[in-house]
Amino acid sequence: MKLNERNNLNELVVLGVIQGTHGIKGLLKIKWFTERSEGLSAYGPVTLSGGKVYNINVKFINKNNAICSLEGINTKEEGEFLKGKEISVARSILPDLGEDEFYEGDLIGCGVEDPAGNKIGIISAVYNFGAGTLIEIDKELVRFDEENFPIVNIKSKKLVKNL
Amino acid sequence: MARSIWKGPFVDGYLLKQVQELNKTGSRQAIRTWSRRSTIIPQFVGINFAVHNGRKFIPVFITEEMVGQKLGEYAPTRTFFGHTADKRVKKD
Repeated sequence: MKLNERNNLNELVVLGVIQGTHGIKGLLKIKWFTERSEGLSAYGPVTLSGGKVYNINVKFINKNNAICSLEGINTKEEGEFLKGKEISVARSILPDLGEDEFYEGDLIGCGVEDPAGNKIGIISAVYNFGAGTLIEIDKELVRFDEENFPIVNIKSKKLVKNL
Repeated sequence: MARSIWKGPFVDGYLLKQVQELNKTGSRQAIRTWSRRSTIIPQFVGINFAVHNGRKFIPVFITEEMVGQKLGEYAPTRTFFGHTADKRVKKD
């Protein structure tokens, strides 16, 4: 499932993926997709692909992987079974944001229209190269600001772009 | 080695001309440029550039904090396929 298909609040947001085990006590190497490694444990119990729910605890960072413990996983063998599984939380668990602040994953997949209601395209990516947030609409990059996008409606997945 | 101070910042001459013309007219149109090597000088603040990254033009709006950097620093040339789980973005 692609990230832009996960915009619904009931759906899951993938926080990371289990790369393998670390040591013999069931610790797991996890590649995190959150802004910081602590984000893996910031939203409470996590759901693994397959549906099982675990409490997660980030122990330390080793070579760009977060070394974590999952409650109930105490041996290397148990951990090996989880290799390749995605770690996710429900979208609704993510905290509400302030005005004019959005989750990047929510923006991706939204439709863009002009003020007259004509379709312009769909947001395929969001970037920030240091000069503000840029939105990619059909391979064209546009600054994400009030002037260009006066109306952003995440619930209806629509943005209005000034021409 | 750092550039000698007595030389001043390097800016391509044609880019400086374009900026001066834009400042005269007060237009808000973006300046398309391939001059990634040009230093951002105080006269550039508030101007929209479209800096080429080898494939396409990246919009760069110049703010005061960017003065002293090169234009190319804001238009990376390599594709980054990052993941986004809880990343937040804010309207500028």
